[in-house]
Amino acid sequence: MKYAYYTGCLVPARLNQYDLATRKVLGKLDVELVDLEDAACCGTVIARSIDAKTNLMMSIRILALAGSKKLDLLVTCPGCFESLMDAYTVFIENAGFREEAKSILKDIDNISYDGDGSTVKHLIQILINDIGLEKIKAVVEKPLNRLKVAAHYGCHILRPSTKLRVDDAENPKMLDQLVNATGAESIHWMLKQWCCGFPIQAVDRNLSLSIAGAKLRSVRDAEADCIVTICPSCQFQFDVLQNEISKITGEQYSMPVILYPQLLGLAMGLAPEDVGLNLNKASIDRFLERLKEVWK
Amino acid sequence: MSEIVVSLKSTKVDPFLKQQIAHSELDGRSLLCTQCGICTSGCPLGEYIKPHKIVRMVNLGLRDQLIHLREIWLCTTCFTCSQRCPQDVNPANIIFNLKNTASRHGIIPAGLREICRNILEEGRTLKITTGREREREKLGLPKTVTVNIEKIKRLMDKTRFDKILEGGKV
Ligand code: SF4
Ligand code: SF4
Repeated sequence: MKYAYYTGCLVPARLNQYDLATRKVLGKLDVELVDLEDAACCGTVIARSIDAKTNLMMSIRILALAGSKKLDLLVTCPGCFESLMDAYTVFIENAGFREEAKSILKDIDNISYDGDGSTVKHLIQILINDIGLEKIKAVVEKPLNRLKVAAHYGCHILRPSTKLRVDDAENPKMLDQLVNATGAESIHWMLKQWCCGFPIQAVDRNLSLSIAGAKLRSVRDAEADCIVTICPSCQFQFDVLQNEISKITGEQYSMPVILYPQLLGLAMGLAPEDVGLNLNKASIDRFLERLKEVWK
Repeated sequence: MSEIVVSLKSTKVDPFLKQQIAHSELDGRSLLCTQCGICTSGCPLGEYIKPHKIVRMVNLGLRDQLIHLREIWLCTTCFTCSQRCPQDVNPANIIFNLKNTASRHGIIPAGLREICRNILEEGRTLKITTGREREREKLGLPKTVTVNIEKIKRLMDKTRFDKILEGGKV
């Protein structure tokens, strides 16, 4: 299996461990990745807030670059995923935008793009649909039995489901299945489907962090050992900014936050530093202690 | 934060606002709204934003009031409203549309403008520092892919992103 690979902005700028763990885990599952050269920002909801057309153009360009390589495109960021899916949908459905985009792509990159050549897939779709849960279970060497996990999907992998077509938006299963495949237990928690608040960081930081605080409280009340994310924005919000959230809300959460490929890597028998666990910020010592108990 | 007050007296009415929104790339079908309130009931920021009210204001054509609402910038873009709306109105896209219109009037929150300048100058929302590159090297990761910024600038020139961002009339 071979994919073009696009990390987006936040991963190389702040979360290299997501990249590291993804490469390590997919390598063990015989997946080959080709870095998508010259792929800039997808624009995401940031550019879309100022000018929708700019966001669409930036995103369709990335799909066109992957299309010219005739490879399906792996993205790890749900923000990029939603943005690329949105651009693809508009490209197919809106003839006016399609013609304009084709001429800009021809002019800038000399690519003739007609929507073919590449399908965008998020990491969890590749793990479940292309590789399969059975194959994943078969490579688990050190099952994480008794580890209680609060699975966190992130908005832009789920909604709106008519456009994204990944999972049931109100009752998603994919990440829970992937967590359970490691031997861990995906638990129920109240605010699971809520937004983490990250996208309004630049507009109202306190409000953004207080939404994350409400979610952290919900995870703590459910007595989870950790949160598991698949979104760089959610990961950044809950992990890197957890101290700041504590200050704003006046509560201590001590909640480890782990990226799914890190969790899977650990269950496959990779060492914590092989999946970049040392780069995570919040209560990682507590998590490592818990792992020792789990593996006893 | 101030409550949204719908006042028909205070502003001019733009009867074409709903059509303009319905025909943009960011389609939103405000005319189908029945004011059931399902969108607001599921909004994580329902305390501050009332998407059903925003849709109603669009149908009334209260363009000037809408583009000056701070609330539109507090939408986290979680798409819960659009997912659940029984009428397929797509309030999240309507809010994007209003932000696009506000931007063309020079109303853009400073923090957001900053990130957009990064995109214009670096091709990324955030700069990749030498520290991060060194970290990648230590981890055995390949260098971050290079971005041909001239191409991004040309793309932005075609969509006039730089001009919209700096608040010029486009
Ligand atoms: S859920 Fe849809 S129909 Fe109901 S108030 Fe909101 S936008 Fe209108
Ligand atoms: S997309 Fe915006 S308005 Fe709609 S539910 Fe989410 S935060 Fe509220």
